Amino acid sequence: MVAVSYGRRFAALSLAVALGALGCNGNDPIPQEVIDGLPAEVGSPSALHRPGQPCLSCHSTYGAAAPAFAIAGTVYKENAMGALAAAPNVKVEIFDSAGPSRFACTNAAGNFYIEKDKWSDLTFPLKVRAGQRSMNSIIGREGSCGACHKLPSDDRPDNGAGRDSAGVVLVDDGDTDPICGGGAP
Amino acid sequence: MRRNVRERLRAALGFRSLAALGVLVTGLVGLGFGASSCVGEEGLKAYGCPNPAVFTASVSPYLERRCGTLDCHGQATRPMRIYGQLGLRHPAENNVSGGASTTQLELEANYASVCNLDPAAMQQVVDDLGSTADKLLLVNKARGLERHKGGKIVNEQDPGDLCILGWLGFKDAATVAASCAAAIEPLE
Repeated sequence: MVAVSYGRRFAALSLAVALGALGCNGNDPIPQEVIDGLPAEVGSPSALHRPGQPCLSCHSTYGAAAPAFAIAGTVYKENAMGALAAAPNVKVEIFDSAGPSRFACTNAAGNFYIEKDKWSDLTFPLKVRAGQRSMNSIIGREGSCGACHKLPSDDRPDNGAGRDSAGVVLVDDGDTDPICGGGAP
Repeated sequence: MRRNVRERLRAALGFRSLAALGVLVTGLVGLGFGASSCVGEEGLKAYGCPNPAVFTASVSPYLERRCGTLDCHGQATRPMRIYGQLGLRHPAENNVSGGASTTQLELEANYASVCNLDPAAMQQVVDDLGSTADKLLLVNKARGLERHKGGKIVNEQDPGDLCILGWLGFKDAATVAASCAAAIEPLE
C-alpha cells in the first residue's frame, strides 16, 4: 500500500471537484446553446412561467434549476378565433417502457411536470396521451415536450409544425378531466 | 481597362488591403472547389448495401418509428439521420413533421444514411450475404453492445433485431416484412 499525503489527496480531490464543476457550468455546448437561445424571463419564475419552452433545458442536472423534472411540457388548445391558448385542467398520461403509467395535470398556463425525484426510474421510450389525444410517435429520450413540439415562429407559423417540429401539443377545446379540476371530457 | 480597375482599387484600399482581399477570394474559391468535391448522398451509393426495395418497404418504416423520432436520429445534427412522416422532414421538400407520408426522397436518404454508417463493414456484409452482420455498428448499437446514447433498442432475435438482420441477411421480402411489422406494432 502506497502512502499518499493529505496534501496530494486534497489536490486530487480539488481537481476532481473542479473538473466536475466545469462539466455543468455552461461548458456543454449543445444544452447551453438551447438555454442561451431562450427568451428572457417574464416576471419571476413559477410553475406558470415559460410555457411552450423546453423545460428540462434548465430543470435538469445540467441546467440546475429546481426542481429537476423527469418530464414536462405545455398543452395548448385553439380558441374560437383559431389562436393558440393555454389548456388548463388537462390530464397528461405518460406510459413508460417499464412500469405503470403516471399522470400530471396542466395548470393555468397549460404547463405540467413530473419531478425527477418522483419518477427516478423513468424508462424510455415513452408513449403519451394528452386529454383524448395520443401521440403518434414514441418519445425516444427527451423529457421536454417543447424540444420537439416547438412554438410557432417565422418559419413555423400557425401551430409551430415544421420540418423539425411536430407543432405545439394540442388538445380539443373543453378536453379537461375531473381528476385535474376540469369538467367531464 | 483591367489595369485601371486594379489601380483604382489599389488607390482606394491600399496594397495591403488588396493583398488581403486577394487571399480572401483565393480562399473562398478553394473552399468552393473543396465543397464541390465532398462526398454527397449520390456518391455514397457506390458502397455495397443490401436490397434497397426491402429496406424502403419494411426496414425504413421500423427505423422511422423506433429510431427517427425528433429527439433521436430525427435530428439534423445526429449521425445516421433518419427522415420520416413523424420525425424530421427532408430539407429539399416542404413537408412538416406529422404531415404527409414519408416520401421517396426521404426513403432514399434513409437508405444512404444507414448503408454509409459503417461502409466498409457493410460492404463485407454484402460480400458474405449477411454472415458478418453482427459486426455492424447498426446492429451492435441497437443491441446495446456498443455505446449508444439511446441505450439498448432491441434484444437479440426479437422482431426489431430480426427486421434489421433479415434485410442484412438477404432474407426474402415477406420474411423481413413480417418481422418489421411485428416490431412496429407495439410502437403505434
